[in-house]
Amino acid sequence: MSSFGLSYAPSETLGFIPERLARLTAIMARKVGEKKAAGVSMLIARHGRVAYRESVGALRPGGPAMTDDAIFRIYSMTKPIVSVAAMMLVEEGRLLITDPVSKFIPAFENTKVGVVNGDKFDLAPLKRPITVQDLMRHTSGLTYGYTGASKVQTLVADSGVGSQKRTLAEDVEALAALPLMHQPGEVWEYSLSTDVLGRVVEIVEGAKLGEVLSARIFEPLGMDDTAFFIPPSKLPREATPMSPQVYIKFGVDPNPITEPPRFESGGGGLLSTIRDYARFAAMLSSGGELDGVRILGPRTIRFMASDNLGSHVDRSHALLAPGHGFGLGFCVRLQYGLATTPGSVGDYFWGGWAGTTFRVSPQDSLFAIFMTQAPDNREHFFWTFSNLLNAAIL
Amino acid sequence: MSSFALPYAPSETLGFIPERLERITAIMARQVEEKKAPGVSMLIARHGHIAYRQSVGALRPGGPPMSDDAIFRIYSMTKPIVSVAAMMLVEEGRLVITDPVAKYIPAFAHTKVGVVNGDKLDLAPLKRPITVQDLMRHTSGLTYGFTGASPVQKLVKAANVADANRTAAENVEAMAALPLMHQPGEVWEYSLSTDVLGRIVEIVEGASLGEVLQNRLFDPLGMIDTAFYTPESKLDRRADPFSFDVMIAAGADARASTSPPKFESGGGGLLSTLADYTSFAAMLSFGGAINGIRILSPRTLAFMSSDHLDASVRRGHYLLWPGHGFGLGFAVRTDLGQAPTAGSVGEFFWGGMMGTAFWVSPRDSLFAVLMVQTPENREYFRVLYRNLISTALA
Repeated sequence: MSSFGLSYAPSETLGFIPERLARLTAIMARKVGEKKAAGVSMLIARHGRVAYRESVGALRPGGPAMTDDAIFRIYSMTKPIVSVAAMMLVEEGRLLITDPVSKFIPAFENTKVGVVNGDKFDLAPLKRPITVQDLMRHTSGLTYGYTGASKVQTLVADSGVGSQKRTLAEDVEALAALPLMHQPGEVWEYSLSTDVLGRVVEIVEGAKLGEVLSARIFEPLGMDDTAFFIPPSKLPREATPMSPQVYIKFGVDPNPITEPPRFESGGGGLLSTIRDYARFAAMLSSGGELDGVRILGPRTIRFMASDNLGSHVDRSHALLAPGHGFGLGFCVRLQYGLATTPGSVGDYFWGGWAGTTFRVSPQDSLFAIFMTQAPDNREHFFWTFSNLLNAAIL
Repeated sequence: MSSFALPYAPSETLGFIPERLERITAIMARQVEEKKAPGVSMLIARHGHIAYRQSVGALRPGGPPMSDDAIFRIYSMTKPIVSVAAMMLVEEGRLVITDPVAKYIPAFAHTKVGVVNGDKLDLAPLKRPITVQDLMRHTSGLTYGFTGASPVQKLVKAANVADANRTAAENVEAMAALPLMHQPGEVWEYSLSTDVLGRIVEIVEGASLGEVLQNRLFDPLGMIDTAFYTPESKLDRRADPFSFDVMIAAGADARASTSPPKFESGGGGLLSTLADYTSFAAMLSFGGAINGIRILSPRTLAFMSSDHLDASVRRGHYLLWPGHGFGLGFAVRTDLGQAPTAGSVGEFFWGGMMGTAFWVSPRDSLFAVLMVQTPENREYFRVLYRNLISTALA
């Protein structure tokens, strides 16, 4: 059994109720029996030690058992990694979050905001420039093509941005030519912002995003299986959904990307394992350092994990859970109630479209990771995992 | 004398001013002399010990003295019990609070919202589905037939959806066919929601609500006298009010059944005793477990007892005290001031239409139960009792 580079401790010594933690395994096995997913892999750590780690079900339908080293498409769980890389540049004095994005990508200087005006669609000038901070907290005014059917979202969907055919540089240029959905700083709108942030990181570093992430995060933290592609030698470890149709119906290619892609999406391109993401989350949870390797300072992490939305920002987006704000790359819990699942104030987390999620709870000195590939059932799994985790904390 | 789940301790060792605590007995005896109620039974506990327990007056007008094992109609104090049962299912991964109610009761997929338009009542479609969370925090849009005289409330009253001669399944189907008073999530409206929640518990468990509560709560917690009816053998222990007028006006059945009723109302059907509800309240006060029996985790309980009303939710309802919000089954104090009585932020509680009340104060490690049958004076007794307890805290 791989050590994950993290030590184990009996869960009762870490403030868990062991039989309730064990129940998680049986309940997830039942979900797999109900064919909600082919398999799931889970890890819960507290006070720097792993309390629980289980994989249930199969890697893919009819395949071998789910394992710790299964490789998952983590989609938007790429965003926190790219955000950490950007903050490393901030810590080195090479980037300020107040920098206008156009300082790095001049095309954004001329970006307009789409204003629906009856039947007409007007273009308004920016009231203020988009900043790097806007990119990190999703207040840039950018959107996604798939999160709604507004005029701007339709334009984004039709533009082919993110289609894998272009480089990140080309894609981001195309994005800058499209109208924004909102004025910068006014609305929390889940968006392609982190793709743009990834491009900013490329420009500052003078290297491709994949290279930057490898050199700055994956190698130092020993995240051996995290990349924008899955090499053929690792294909036997690929986790898949119940059916390729689950991807196809959303316009997602079910075939794995087996070599470094042209387009490295900072917003959602990575594949990873529970082991690797545990290393990343352990680094966050322990204040920016793991096994003597320092990635960020504790104050920088605290800043990232604090609400960065002002009181005037419209937070009504369906993907921003009630009772939550957004920091620099993470969603942040602001109150005990109102949310859809128990948790502590200050918990920060995010998830991926195919069904992966992680959370760090500074107050509880806890982090947890859940991985499956089941886009249809991702929210059911997210809430259930969190409910069961909280049911096991004494 | 019935048995209580907790040990006693001298009140001065628990942070009370003994003479002020003892004064409660004389003041309540005076209320009885003034014929505000035939009798009262009370318990106050702190730091896991009973500090005060007294019964004054008579069991019923002209009856024997009030006793510890008197059986009271607890009406809406049924709601916290059903809410706890529902959260047990959440902890087991069998329910998530974001589930639409229509997932369990398909008739709710077609429910409409009544919109008063001059003399007419128009029907508008739901803007979003009613969720399990809405049921628990009374934001479903449902109402009661007796809490007002709006057109929808008149329809609810006329439809007799709490019909004792129908099953919960039939009553809830009838509720789904009536218009809602509000769009889900917009207004705190005290309501039949917990009857619907009880029905969901039945569906998930595949058993009647009475059986589920018996197995999951009453047996484990030793609540030997809590049920949806009073068996013949216990009738001599039943407490009665001076008059049933208020209840009859509200359309409630004044005489509880002596055999298991057809309709087991999750919103108000239970009878209980001071000893039994003390076990339940002690479990809540101790973070979900008592005497080694764990019902819920501390995190789940903290989640339930936090405010779940968004700032946009209209809170003006007369049954939601100023300075309070509502969690998942309990009112929750959010402010030290504004309320009708002194208390601590974070207190959670509810009461029953016949006058019973309980509250738990996590901050003071305190809980208290008040049992009385006096529908007209229920609010008076609640505020008075709380005032007297607050004044007795050192």
